[in-house]
Amino acid sequence: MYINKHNCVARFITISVAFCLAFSLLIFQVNADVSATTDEVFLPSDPTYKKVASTDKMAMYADMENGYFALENLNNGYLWYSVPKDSDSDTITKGTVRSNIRSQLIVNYVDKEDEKTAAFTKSVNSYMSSVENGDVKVEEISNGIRVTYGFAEIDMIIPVEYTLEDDRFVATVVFSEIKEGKTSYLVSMNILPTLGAAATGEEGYLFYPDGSGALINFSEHTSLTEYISKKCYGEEKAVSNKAEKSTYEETIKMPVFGTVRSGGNALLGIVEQGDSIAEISAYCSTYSCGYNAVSSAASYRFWSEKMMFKGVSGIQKTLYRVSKNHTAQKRYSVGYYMLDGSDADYVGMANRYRQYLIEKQGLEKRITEPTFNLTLYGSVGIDASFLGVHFTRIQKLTTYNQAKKMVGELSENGVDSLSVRYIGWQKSGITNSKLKNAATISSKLGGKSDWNELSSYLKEKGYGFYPEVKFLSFQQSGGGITTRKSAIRTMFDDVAKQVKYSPSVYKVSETEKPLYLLKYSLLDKEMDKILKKYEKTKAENISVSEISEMLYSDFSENATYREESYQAARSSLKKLQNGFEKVAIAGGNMYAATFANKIYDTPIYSSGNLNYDEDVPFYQIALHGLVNLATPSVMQSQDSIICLLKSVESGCELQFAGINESAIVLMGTEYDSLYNTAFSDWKDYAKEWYLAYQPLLEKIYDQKIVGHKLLSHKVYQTDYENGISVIVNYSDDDYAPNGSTVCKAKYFAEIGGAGE
Amino acid sequence: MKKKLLRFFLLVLCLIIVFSVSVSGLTPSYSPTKTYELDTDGETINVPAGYVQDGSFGNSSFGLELPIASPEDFCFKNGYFYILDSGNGRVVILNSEMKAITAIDSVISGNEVLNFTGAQGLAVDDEQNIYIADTENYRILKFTQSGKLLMQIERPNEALKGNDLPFRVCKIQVSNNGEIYTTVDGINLGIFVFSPDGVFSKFVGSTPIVTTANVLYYYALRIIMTPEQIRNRMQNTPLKVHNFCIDEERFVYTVSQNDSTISQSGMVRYLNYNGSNVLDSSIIYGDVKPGEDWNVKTAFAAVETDGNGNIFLLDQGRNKVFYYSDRGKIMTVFGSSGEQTGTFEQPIDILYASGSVYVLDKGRNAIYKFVPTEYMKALIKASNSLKDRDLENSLALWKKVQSLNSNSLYSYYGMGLAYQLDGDYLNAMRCFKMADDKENYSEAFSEYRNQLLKKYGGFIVAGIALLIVIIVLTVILLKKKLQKAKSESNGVYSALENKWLLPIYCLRHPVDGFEQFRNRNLDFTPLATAIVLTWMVVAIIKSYLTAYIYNSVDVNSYNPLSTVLSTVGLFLIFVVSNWCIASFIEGKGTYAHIFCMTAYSLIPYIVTELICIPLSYMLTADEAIFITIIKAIGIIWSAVVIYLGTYTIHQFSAGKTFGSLILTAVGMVIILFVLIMIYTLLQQAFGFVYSLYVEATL
Repeated sequence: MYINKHNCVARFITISVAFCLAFSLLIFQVNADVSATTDEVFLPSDPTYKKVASTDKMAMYADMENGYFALENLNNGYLWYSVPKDSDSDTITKGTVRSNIRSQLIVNYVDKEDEKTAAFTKSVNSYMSSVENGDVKVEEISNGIRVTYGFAEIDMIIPVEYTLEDDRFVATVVFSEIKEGKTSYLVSMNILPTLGAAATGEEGYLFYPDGSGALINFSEHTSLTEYISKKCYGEEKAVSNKAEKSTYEETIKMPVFGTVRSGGNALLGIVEQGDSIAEISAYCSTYSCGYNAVSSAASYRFWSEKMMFKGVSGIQKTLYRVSKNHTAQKRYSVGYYMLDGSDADYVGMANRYRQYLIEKQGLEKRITEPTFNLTLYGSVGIDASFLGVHFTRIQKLTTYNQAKKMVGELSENGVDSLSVRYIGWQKSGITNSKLKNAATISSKLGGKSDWNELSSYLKEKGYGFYPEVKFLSFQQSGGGITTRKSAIRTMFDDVAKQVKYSPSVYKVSETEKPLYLLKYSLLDKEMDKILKKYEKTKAENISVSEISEMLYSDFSENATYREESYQAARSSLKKLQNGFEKVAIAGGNMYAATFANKIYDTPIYSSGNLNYDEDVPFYQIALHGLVNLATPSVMQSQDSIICLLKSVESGCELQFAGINESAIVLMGTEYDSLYNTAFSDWKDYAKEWYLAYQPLLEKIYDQKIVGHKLLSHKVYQTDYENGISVIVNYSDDDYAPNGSTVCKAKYFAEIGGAGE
Repeated sequence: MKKKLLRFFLLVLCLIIVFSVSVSGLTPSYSPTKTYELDTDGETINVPAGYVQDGSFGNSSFGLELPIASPEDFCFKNGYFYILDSGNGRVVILNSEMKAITAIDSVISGNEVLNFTGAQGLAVDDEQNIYIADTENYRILKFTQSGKLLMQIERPNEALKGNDLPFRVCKIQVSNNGEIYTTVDGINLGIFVFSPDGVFSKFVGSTPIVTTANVLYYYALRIIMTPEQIRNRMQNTPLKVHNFCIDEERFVYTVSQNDSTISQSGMVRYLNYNGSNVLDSSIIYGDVKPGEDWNVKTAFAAVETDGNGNIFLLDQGRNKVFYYSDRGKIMTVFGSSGEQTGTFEQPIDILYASGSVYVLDKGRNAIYKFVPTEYMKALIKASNSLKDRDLENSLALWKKVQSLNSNSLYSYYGMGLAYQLDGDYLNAMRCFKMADDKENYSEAFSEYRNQLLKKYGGFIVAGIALLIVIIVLTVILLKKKLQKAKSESNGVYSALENKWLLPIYCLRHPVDGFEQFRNRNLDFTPLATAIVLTWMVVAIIKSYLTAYIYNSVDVNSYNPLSTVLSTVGLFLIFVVSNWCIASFIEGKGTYAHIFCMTAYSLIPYIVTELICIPLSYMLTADEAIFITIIKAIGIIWSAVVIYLGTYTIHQFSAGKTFGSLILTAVGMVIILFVLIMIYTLLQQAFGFVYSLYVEATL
């Protein structure tokens, strides 16, 4: 009795102490610094593990029988295991996922005999096929091991090299040495799917690079799907159209991912070779999966489907195909970097990635004074008909003269640092009707004289001028470019039309014209032609969309695969970089960012997958201070105030897109999504925000972001290397931690730094 | 000791996890769909997002030992959320931070413990007493938060005489005066209403059935079939109310799910004290796409009011929420199926609490919170100003909405009303036209016309008088000229001699005219062809020039080919058919005769169509009767002339003429059928060959 009572008191005290501790931890936000004791057995003493490599940063211990390994961070002795070592005691994970979790390689394939009918790729994993059957060969190579996985059921052999190099661990699949089975096609493989996996309920998170970046906590999610996988640089465009499409997603713009675990340890993965064919995949805690892990997968062949006899009941049928040639990529390698202590969070990872971009990808510091970004839409081609005859009517939205007036008005009102991005200034407007007119000055908008007046006015004012050009999409044949011959095709040899979908019933919209995409193999030649016309604009700068945001293959006779398109995109961007004083890009896939002076429309959200717990501005943290970054147009975003605050949170420049006309002229047309762009409606709002934000931006624009954290519900703090911190409050209440307001509701505040 | 320390750390860790979850409510996430509203034809319009998700609360945030499974219902009262955790037979109470504070899984009644697993309905009254529609146990339970039973309502046998279905109560609500409203699965007498002390008092609102040919057909069947046969053929019982909610005035909003026996507007109803629907029955709720079944997938699972008379409808079919104003104008749509923020798996109930919308997802065992965007806040404000007749601010508020979304049809409607109240009818007309609201446009036009009449009444009357004088003078002049010609030609000159004027004569004296025409072969095909072409041209310009109120043609998608087919095509089919029939039943008329006769007789119809075009600019929708009368005169005149013409040129008896015309109509149908069949066959053959080609070249 006495003992019981005593226990009660003790428990009470323990719990209250725990509460206090938790609270204080919460307030100081030192999640990562908890020095939790690990009860992990030091595996290298395990007789089956052998030290196979080491550098001054890390050591690698391998199971020479099965190919498992552990990586030791020599800074603090922390161990990263290639598969979770406690997966036997896991009670949540079931089915195939359970064996996938224990694998170092998961292979997706299609049997040749049912290539045309297989609705899913089949998969085998190294645990069931190789380890359980003893079909693993482990050899020591210089500073690492080479593991050859055999998959007897499909007669395939895949060699993977695990080595330590300088400051990183590298996993490389040697594509040229893969032995593909005679009866099946190798479609893709997921490499080290559970390196550093954490069980449900542990402390820490995964970093997934969707959009601006997303975090996945190790707690159970409401989602019913535990596996996420998305292609780097966007989904393939050379595919048959889906019958229905209801939701839209952000794309992966950076081939990078990471795991942050308790005790200040993080592992950052960067796809170093073969990012064009990479997918980033993750296992997340759900009701049926007990682990969290993020990794990458490589596509070896492309697999696609097509619906035949659409809508005809009875004979409607889906066909499937695998590309006949495998990727031309020779090696696929992923580098893993260990971070510890205060660097072991997403900010640390972003900074490590930034270092990688500078050292390995040639990214330079090209940032210039920050500006307000005025984006203007020139004109649009509207489908009209009279007496049943269809024709395209050019609807003017902002003429060259009006553009000049708008700039003048803003600058008179105090918006004195400004640059102009001009979309749809061409003959056919926002959408390229014919590709040959992609950079032709429009006589309807004022012709050459007005254009010259505008550009010399901007030059005289010292404002940046970025006329935007689309080099890839078009609606009609013309100028040697035909929809039949120059547009990308699917594996079924159909022209891959880019269609739009009805937002209500999700079916393909029949009223809107489809777009065609130029084969990347023709880009170089066509770009030269278009640039020749662009020369007439006498513009010193250029803004490019599409090349920087869309990577796709072409499966017509002389196929161009993704990795070749990737090269074509990079070389064309290089050409632009050499030819122009400044290059701005839109969207900003990382392969393009390294050539840019300015990036418009940097992502501010992730796709909001149900497995994500938080959006983080990883993209901006990685590039801040190197390149001028602008968030998407405030008026065109879903909630203008959120977009503005996101700009401030990530230290980006503001972008406002507008037209001179009233948006009513676009009602009922396919461009009606410009519903709130009328310049007169938002100019005062824009000016107000510019005046409030610009002084702060001028202090931080060229600074590295060294910290980013959640202070309180919907309140974030961003720290810059010069000591300035910015608090952004998204909530409807003032942020007043100690009674006095630090940051007003839906606003931002600057703290610290030399200025205070 | 070490172990204890470890445990302590684990506990700390657990708490940290729990707390870190509570902190990361994050910024409102983006909506993964393209947000839209629908115009009057059901076509989509791009609009800004209205509500965006601002929190997802699943089992990991509730912090329950036993996770929630298959929740069926939830409600919000005095700052607490109550979830009916059906799978586990309990009510879970959450605080405003969405943390579970208690769970009631059994109800104590004396010595007995009552359990309510599988219950489908939950309600909470102002005293925080809980009501459960205990579906599987055929009863309603009322109990306190400590689980003490206060009242149990069983099947009201009195009210259900002659009905042996069990009392499977589904949805339950308590009105602000303590009355208990409930629906019962399978019993479609309406919503059961019980007094606060549990005595059955009445039924409210059974779903109306369609009063269309469908129903008439079954009434007819009733005469010849036994009741049993009829029951096998159809269930003509009123459809059950799927879900409902009660507003402050104790009016009831109900939703029913799609069924062939229910009319479109019956899907959503707003019942007054008498149980009759006070919503505009012309409004169709949910996604409508022209040319497709009007709402194949739409299945409303729940309805909720925002306290201002606007309603949220939860569509389980497409996993969306529709927000309609009290006037049935669409305000926003959000949600979708999918795997992203803002999507649902199996949404089952919806709540509105202090500006936010909460959706309960049975499939994911989660509650999702949605908050309005800046745009939505502006729209709600403007909408409320309309309701409060706050004219002074209304206009400015609507203008604000338009600056955020120039596509908002509701804003044009609201602005139109504001202008109309202000007496600015011309602007009101402009706005109603933008909103495509013909009814209000017509009203504003009527007022505007009055203004014009008052201002320029004198001029207008004078103008009309002048016009009449001119017409009369012209007629007199023409008559004189004719008479002069007649007297000059010794009286033999008649209109008949002039093939240009023959048609006019025929219209006034059909029998005589066509008789002469037949006997003396006065047919003049070029003129007849010109008349038919004029008909075509008039039909086409009518589509373009008729005033907005009377014009139902969308000029942008207008295809004149259909007009050509329905004028010239129809004419030719008639002529061919009549000619064929006549040759069978020994009609005397030649092809040219039939051709010219038919063309001539169309003149009254064409002229009245032409007159109606300018007239449409002068009349309001209420005065459509004038246009109808004028058109009727034209049609009847033309029909009479056709009849008499056929009678005359074929030299039929009166009865035979009638018969031949009916046969002609039958012939026309057959010709049309054959043409359509040939067309379809060709199209299918082409499609098939093309598909084969595609497959062969793979």
